Amino acid sequence: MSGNRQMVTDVSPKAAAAGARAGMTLAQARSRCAALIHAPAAPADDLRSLESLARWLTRFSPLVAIAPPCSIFLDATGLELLFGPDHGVGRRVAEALGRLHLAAGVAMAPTPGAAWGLAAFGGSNLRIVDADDLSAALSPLPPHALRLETTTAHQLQSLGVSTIGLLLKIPRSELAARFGPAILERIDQATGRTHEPLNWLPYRSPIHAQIEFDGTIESLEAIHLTLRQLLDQFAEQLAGRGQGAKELRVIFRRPYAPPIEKTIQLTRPCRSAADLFNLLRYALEAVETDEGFIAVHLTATRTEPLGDEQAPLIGGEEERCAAEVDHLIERLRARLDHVLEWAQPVESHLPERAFRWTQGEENPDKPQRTQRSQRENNTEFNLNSLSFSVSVPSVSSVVKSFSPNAIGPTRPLCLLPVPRSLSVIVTPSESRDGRPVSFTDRNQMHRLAHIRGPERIAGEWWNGRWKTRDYFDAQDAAGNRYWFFRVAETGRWYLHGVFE
Amino acid sequence: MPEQPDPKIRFPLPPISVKSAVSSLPYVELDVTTNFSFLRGSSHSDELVRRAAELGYAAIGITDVNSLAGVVRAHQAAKEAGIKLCVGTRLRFTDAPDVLVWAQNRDGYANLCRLLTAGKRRAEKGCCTLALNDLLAASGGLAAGLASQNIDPQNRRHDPAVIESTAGALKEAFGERLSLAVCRAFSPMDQMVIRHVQSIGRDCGIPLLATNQVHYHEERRRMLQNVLTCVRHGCTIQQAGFRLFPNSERFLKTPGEMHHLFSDLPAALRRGGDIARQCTFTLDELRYEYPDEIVPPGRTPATYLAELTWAGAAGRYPGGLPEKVRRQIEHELRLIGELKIEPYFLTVYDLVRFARSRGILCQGRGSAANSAVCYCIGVTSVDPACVDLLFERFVSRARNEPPDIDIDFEHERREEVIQYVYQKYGRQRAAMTAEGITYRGRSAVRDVGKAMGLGLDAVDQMAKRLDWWDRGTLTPQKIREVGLDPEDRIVRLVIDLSGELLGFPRHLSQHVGGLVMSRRPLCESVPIENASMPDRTVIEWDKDDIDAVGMLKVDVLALGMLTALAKGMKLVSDAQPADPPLELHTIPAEEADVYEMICDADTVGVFQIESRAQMSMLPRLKPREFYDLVIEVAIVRPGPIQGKMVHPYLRRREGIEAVSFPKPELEAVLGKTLGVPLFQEQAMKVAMVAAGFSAEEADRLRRSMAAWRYNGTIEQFHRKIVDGMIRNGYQPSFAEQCFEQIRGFGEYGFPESHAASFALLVYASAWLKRRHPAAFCVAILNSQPMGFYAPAQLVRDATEHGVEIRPVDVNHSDWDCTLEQTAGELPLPATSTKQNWGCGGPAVRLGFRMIRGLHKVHAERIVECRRERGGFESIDQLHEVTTLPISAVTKLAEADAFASLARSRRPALWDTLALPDEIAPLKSVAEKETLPAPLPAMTDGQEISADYASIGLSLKGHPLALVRHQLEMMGIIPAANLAGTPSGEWVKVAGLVLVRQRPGTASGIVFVTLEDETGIANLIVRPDVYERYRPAARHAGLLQAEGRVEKQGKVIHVLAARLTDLSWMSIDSEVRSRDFH
Repeated sequence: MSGNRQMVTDVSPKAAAAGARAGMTLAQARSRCAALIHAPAAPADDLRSLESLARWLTRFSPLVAIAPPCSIFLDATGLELLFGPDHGVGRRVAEALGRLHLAAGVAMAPTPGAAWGLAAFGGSNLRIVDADDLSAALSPLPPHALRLETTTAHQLQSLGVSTIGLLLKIPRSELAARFGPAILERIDQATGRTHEPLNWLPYRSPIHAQIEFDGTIESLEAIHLTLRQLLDQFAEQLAGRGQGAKELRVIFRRPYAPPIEKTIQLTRPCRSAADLFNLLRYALEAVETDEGFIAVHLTATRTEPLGDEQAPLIGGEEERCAAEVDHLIERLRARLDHVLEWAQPVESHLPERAFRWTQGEENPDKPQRTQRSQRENNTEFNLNSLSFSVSVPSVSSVVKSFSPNAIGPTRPLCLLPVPRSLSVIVTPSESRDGRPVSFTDRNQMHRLAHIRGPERIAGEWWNGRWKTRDYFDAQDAAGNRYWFFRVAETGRWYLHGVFE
Repeated sequence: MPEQPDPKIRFPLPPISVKSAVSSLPYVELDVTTNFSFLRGSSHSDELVRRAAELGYAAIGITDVNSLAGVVRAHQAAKEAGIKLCVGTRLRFTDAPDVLVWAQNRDGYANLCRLLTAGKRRAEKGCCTLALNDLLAASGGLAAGLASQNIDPQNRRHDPAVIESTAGALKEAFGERLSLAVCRAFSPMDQMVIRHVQSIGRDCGIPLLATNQVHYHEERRRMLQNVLTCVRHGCTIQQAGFRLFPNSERFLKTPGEMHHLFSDLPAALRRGGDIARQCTFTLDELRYEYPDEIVPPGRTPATYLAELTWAGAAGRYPGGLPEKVRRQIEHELRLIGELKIEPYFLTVYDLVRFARSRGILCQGRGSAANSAVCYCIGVTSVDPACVDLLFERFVSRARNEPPDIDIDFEHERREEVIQYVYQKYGRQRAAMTAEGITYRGRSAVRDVGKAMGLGLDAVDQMAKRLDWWDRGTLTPQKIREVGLDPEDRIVRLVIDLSGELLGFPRHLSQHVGGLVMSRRPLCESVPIENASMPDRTVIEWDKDDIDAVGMLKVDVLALGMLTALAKGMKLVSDAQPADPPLELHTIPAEEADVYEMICDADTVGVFQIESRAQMSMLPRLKPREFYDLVIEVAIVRPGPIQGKMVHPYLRRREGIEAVSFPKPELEAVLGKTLGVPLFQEQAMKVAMVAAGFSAEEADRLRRSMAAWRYNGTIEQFHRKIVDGMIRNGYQPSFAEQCFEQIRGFGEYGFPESHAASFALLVYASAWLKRRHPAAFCVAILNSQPMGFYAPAQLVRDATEHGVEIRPVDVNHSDWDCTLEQTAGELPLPATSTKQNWGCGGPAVRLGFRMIRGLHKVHAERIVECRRERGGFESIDQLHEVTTLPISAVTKLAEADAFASLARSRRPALWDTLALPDEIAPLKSVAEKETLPAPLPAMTDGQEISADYASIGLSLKGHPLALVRHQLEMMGIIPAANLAGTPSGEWVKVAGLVLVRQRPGTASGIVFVTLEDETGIANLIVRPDVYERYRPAARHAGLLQAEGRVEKQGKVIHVLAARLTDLSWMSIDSEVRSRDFH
């Protein structure tokens, strides 16, 4: 996507066969190929997956480098010892990529430049070229295979220099005069005249801590102590990398039973040993400890960068509130094994549609959370079912609604699950818009002292709801405040909530 | 116009709570947002006004957001409905709540316009930036109402302190003329806000004003209003949430309901009536005052125009004025005098005179342009003696509107004329008119579909498939045919709502050429805003609005063919310095050779008649005189085609069918077109003569034919025409047929007056092509882009007529293409089937402008250096002398422009790449090395495709000639062989796709023109074939077609049954086609 036009950045072989090309607008491509499936380009994600593929390839060679957008170099020097002679490593890599269903060109050559060119333009899946055959292998390839700049490559093409072989016949000085020194460097890198340094990926070990006991350990105190020690090491490793754990897995191995595995989700990255310990402790509550453990393994399965946080001295109240909520969610989740949902405000005039239950990883994103300030939220604890619902009135919402300058619509904190039918006596009127005087709810009559309204809310016609409601906010003689409505089309009355 | 009762209220509505006698209670609504508050209001201003009149409102005030764009339409509707209109605006400020203002008198209106102009001029296009102080400084003549409730529902926070302070400030400026507007729309805070505003009113002594914040005229439009809100916010209806109004209360309620709502505030209800009574201003007061500098001192406009006309007449008719023309002039001058519109003609004359003085070719057209007066004062070159003039059509007593004259200017020089107008009248008094961009089928479906939450793909699909539905009725059957489920709620809503949205204004844009001029500053009559083009300003009203209020407007349009004609005539005149310079009216008229060429459809490049449809009509119509061209121009139009008038006319012309008239009285109307109505004027005249329409009714008919927005209104005339004709003794079937024809004109009618002006240019360009083919070719190449054909086809056409074309060369070319003398006569190319009238004439030298990506300044530097120093000897020397950037020299090399230096394309490119970036002053001219051995020479195919890549054509050969052998093996015949192929035979042809055209009238048929080295093959591709071979049909540059040959006289088509993409033949994809869809 660039500007308002959606541009095609890359196409699959199938799409290319149907006529789609990179550089077209999406509309152009679609007019050629009506069944086109497209996804937004995400260069950052591409780079990430290239890097993770490269890391995965470290199983073949310790030296792996990435060359964005789509190339990976492996240093195969000396690998015959591991993978056998005759460049077995090349075959193994090609096979491994094939098993991953990656359509990659693989080539082995004495220089990175030649390997790149052969992989990109060499045709068949695996090309292996020795130093002796290098120039013969290179010369039929197009000059593009030398990783030239696009303009240079185009100029060579319009000059009719269609292969590297032709290019190499042109005197070097002539080339340099026309295309600058870069072209010579690329030629030399491919032919091995100069060495090409590559930026190898640094090796990273997983964040991991473990302890194995001499015998079985049964006492909870001892386990806690061990966990504390493990977490200290663990937090140190995280701090050393500037990361915080987002998900961690803990495995308790038992002498005569399969190991117990627990995964702890965190709402925000964390590396505080104390906080993590609390979470683990909650998780341990549900674990059978009778038989004792012989080992504990702790692994960070997901991490995210985490700076050294410093809470702001003034303000930052909302942020602190949000953090509180997140911690609450983490704790509840660790204890309750993931069955947790919480209410999220939704913009809708219809009261029963003005919130939505959110669960688990569908983590509320920050902007929505601050919008919560406009309205109070329902709080409802429902412990008798598996679903544990919680919603938290943030401090800021309370502050806002008491602000003297701004008056928003008032809503009861709790709605009835289903509006309850009422019978209402209204003032005499020519039609059905008389004001209520009293109502009877479950055989009890309430005479109304103060009434505000009606607030008219029309149905969400786009969802097929056409009926209009008139809401009244009324107080009875006993001082209780009710929120009830009349359906304009039918004249029926319903109680929808009670102010507390 | 009576409101048509809507038979299909499709959705249940809440009951109207109070039913009271309609007119017993007085009520005035002063807060009305129309659809000119873009994407806010969901009713047209005339719908609102008519509804208010029906409900018995005493008056209505239109208050669009920072705009007066909708008031003219409201004004017209109010006049028709007999209700008082208060002209007003809802002013939105950056620093205060909204204030409604209404113009009490002309001064107040001028203040309001000036205020809005100031706000718009300081903001970017389409926006308006105002602060409360701006209003406080310009409060004279305005009544104001402070709006305590915002119209943006998500932003309805009520801040008492702000309301109070704003009320105080306004009270000082407006005094008694200020009110506090309150509305009861059943929002949760209504009660609280009104109580609070009441207390402010009591404290400051400001009366309350009851309004209903109207956004639509009837409750049903709530849905559309919701959808528009979503479009405005760029969200779907599911996401819109608090951005929507919570209910549907903002419609025009009955006065009874309003009284019921405000029963506790009777004074607030009365206040509206008081304000309306004080607002005596109407838009009729904007009676136009013509600029006066167009008349020399000491003369009146009438005497001056008469003087110019008679003097001009003497010049136009050197042999003496024909009696018919004299009578016509006298008649016209009398009518012009009665309507006092002389200054209008003088203004037009002034523009034409200016253009003449600068040598800018121009031609008046349409409307009053083809009057005898306009011919005499030089606005047109169409002799009124040739064309039947219905002067009343344009200047009628019934219409109190100025006439309408469009003037076409050379498209490259129109800006000079516009700048002249700005300079003469000043920016204060001249501006461009707006053009309201309205929702059409596709845009409506697209916006509604997106707002309803359909996926982009589904919306596109629907918009494309439902493109044609905007005027038909959409049955469930049809919906199913396009693959949608008519039972689906969302689909139905999208269809219904898009139908309602059709014709809604979406935004204002600049009209292509409408210029308004006035005597007093324009910004006192209408708000002016910035245009998207720099240094342009646009008023808020479009041309209909301007007509309605009677302002002076001239359409200053651009026409590419005038540029080409001007260039061509200059080339011809320069070549014959002895003769007087050629002008439009001195081109030798009615030359038989020229018509001969036209009858052969040998008209590539000729104005108007170069399209496929025109070309296939020419051999059948066989134009032999000027009036035939007028008909030719008008007949190949959607109007006559849809009215099924083409074939009757052709049959009568060919003598197959007898010319007859249903009643003799129609002979006067339809005589010239053999009894078949072909022009808009004739349709009107038929209505007058046969159906008994008055001139005024006929004029209304014309307007309803023209105005798309009122596309339903033409049906009102249906009964009237048919009944009138039956009463006058016509057959009902004939009457129905006439109405069909009139409706056909409604689609895209073409008036005779336009056709006559165009026909003149047709003849002029055809004459140039026939007599001076080289000059014609140069003129069109130098006026690109224009017309149907790419330079490659224009050059090829010239070559086939024997014109020698020479390549671009650094030692010979100018920026423009030029004429060069030829030594001897070249023979016609062997493949040519055309006449050789170009042989022996001058040759065409292609100019640097043909080279893609070469800048004009660089080309001019080459020409200049060549003039000073003589020709260039080497690339190095050229680079050194001209100091062109290497990129420019590279472009020249790629265009193979160094042939005169004996460097062909690749060696030249090789040399160019080695040029130093900056010129070293003492650098010696190096010895040129020869081309290094490994650079291979180019093949013919490579040369040709490189030519196409750089200059869009090749003089070295046709790409298809290179693969002819291959094509032969595939059984493909050359296009030239089609002529000898019997009709009905199955053939295979192949060629470069020149043009793909899908005329709106051909029910989806696509016309594809293929070109090979021997000529052209015309394909007819039916929709089913097109769909089946869509990728090839839509995109292939080189296309193979199989099908049957169809012959009709000289016209040969191939009815394609199978299409194949041959682009793999690697002739190169740079050869592009021109697609017209």
